[in-house]
Amino acid sequence: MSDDTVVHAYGVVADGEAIPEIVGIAGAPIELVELPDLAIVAASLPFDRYGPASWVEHAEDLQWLASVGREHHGVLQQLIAVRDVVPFRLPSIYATLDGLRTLVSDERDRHLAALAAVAGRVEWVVKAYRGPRPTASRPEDAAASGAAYLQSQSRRLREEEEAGAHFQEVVRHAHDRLTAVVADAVRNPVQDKALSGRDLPMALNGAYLVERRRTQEFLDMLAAVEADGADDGLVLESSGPWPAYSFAGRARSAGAGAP
Amino acid sequence: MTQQLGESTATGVPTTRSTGGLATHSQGQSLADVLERVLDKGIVIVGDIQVRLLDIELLTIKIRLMVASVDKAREMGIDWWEVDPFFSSGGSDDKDDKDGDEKGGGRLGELAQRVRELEQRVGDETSSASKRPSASRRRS
Repeated sequence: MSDDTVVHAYGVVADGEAIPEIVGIAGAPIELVELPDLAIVAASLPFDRYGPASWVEHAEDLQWLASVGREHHGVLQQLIAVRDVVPFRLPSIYATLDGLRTLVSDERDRHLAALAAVAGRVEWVVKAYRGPRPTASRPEDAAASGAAYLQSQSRRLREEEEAGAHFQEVVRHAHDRLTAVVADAVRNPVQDKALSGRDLPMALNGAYLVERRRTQEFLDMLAAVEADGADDGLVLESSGPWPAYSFAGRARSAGAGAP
Repeated sequence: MTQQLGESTATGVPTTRSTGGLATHSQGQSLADVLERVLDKGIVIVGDIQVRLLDIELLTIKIRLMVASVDKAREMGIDWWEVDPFFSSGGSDDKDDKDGDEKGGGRLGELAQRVRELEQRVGDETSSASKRPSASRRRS
């Protein structure tokens, strides 16, 4: 790879198996960089469009980030259809192939651990929202007096508080039940309404590391959890399978590339 | 309202289709979800910045601004984080160099304001995320 290219790494796979032909960011085909026991999925990209300066320049450019992010994700999404992958997070650029090899080799144990963690597994996302309770509404008595009004107000506040606490408990229980049928689970920070795009407040942004062969069991549990939570206003939303972003990262968090 | 997506591919049916196959996967994968996962520090709506490298500080802060601009974009009716099939706008790469220059300067104050608003709104409830910025993997 020459001076006018930058190496973009998508992630790591176990060695020994070919990967499908996939075209990634900037139309560049992905390739395997073989190391002992593992291989890096990478591509050469134009330096002037995807080098470090571009990342700094476009760091606040949603359209650019979204474009690169989706293309990066798109490659990984295609890969998990056929292989187990440890996805890399962005920016994931390297000056040279040798540099990439060295950095990954230096962290070989961490990458192998991450590969073991995601072997045969994919990530599913389940979000829970607090919807209105179907049974919550009941006719309010017209307040006969000021004192009665105040009393009913404070009662209502108390009930709302209790309902809120109860709902948190419902969500925790839902998460626990899902966790029971998966290899690992993590509660990511809930998203603001602006990001979720929904009017309902998000109460759970869960990621679940699901055994591929137990996917149906997970989906069945999801359906059961949703059905059981309906009376409490539990609204679920799920997507998957995803590359195991939320789990691979835990095995290879800090220290990457530290001098 | 559960969306059970990608079920048929969950078993690992091989596909090498470059774009067509993705739509079924990605339905329900919002841009916020994608960016939250693929960006190194996730979408930092809240949370601590632990600065270790000057480079990273720059990136982190700007990513926080970027989040605010998602909000702003929504207000403006630009809902590009609602994912259509991936790569549907695959040609958008070639406009990358222009945008930053055109918008630059005055937008920053506005974005900073939006960040403050977002932070206020979300409060400190999720400082638990433990999303430590890693050191740069960048080598040049």
